[in-house]
Amino acid sequence: MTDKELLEKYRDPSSRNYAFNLMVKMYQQKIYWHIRKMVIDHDDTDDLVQDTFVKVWASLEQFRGDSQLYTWIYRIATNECLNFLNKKRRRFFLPIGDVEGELMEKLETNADYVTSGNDPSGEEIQLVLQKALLKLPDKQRLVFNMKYFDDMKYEEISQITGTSVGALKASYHLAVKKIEDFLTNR
Amino acid sequence: MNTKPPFRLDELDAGHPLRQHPFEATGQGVPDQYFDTLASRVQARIVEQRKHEESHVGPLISWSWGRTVASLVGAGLVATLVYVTWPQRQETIGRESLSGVSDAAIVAYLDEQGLNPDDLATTPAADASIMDDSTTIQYLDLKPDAIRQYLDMQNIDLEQLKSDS
Repeated sequence: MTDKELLEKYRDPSSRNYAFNLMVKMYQQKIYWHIRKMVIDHDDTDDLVQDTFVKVWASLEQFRGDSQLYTWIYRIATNECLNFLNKKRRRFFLPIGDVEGELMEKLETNADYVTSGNDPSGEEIQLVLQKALLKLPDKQRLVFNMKYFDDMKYEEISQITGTSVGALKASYHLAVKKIEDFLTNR
Repeated sequence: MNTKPPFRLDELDAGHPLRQHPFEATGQGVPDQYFDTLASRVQARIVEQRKHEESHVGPLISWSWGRTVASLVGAGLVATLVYVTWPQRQETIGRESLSGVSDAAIVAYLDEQGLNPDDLATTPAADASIMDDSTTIQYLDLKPDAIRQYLDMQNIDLEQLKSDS
């Protein structure tokens, strides 16, 4: 179903709930993993995914269709993530390193791999990458996730983050360089 | 010396662990049936939120014990601060305040301030006598001719004045 058809069904009161349910089912996994990569913890992610869709419901009437529906929903989810992380820092007067440490702890607690002998397993390697990512600033981590894992185009990321394509390219390049250095020197 | 070859993310093939989805690779998936029930949980939250909004249509600030006590404590604090910091009114110096001061010390102080004690002593007497009109004329030391000229200038009939009085 196209965005246009979905929105037409949403605007009709008799099929509004059906259209909204359909929309949640279409985008829930992408939005969940987008948020999960940023906040690490499942429970925090669940809260933020629900907050995102509640906001989508509340403001879908005002959606003009200037961008694609999924980039619009991504933008709401992205703002929810960044606000959540900023609030976390403000609430406890935590410096950046402490939030990063908390996320790192969650990452290790949740991982159910067993440390092997000489050759690190795929799970261990992935965990190292996640730790390297947590060393990046939030927005740079966000750009890296969307480009590297979700394989999104810079133009799409630009619509979601409101950052120019040039700045995004520079940010991604810098993020890749930092992670490669971390993985090389670990 | 570091002999490790530099790590290149863009050279990794598609099957490499670092190319996999991060949380699935580390076994940190989602609880069973999470995505099956998410849409209905979101809908339930929307319905609950709507009910909550509808039931809270009314005054923006409702009465509560906590708010009332906080307001009273705040008002009391302000009143205490005002009472403590309000400047005391300066009363005039009474006779009893000066009773312990010697005359010589007072005269010396007045001299210092450029005031003549004799002038101060005669001023109350002069003020009291000026209250009476007849003595005021004496103080002015006016001649009868000057008074008559003034009355002419004001077109006041002297005979009329005499008959009125």
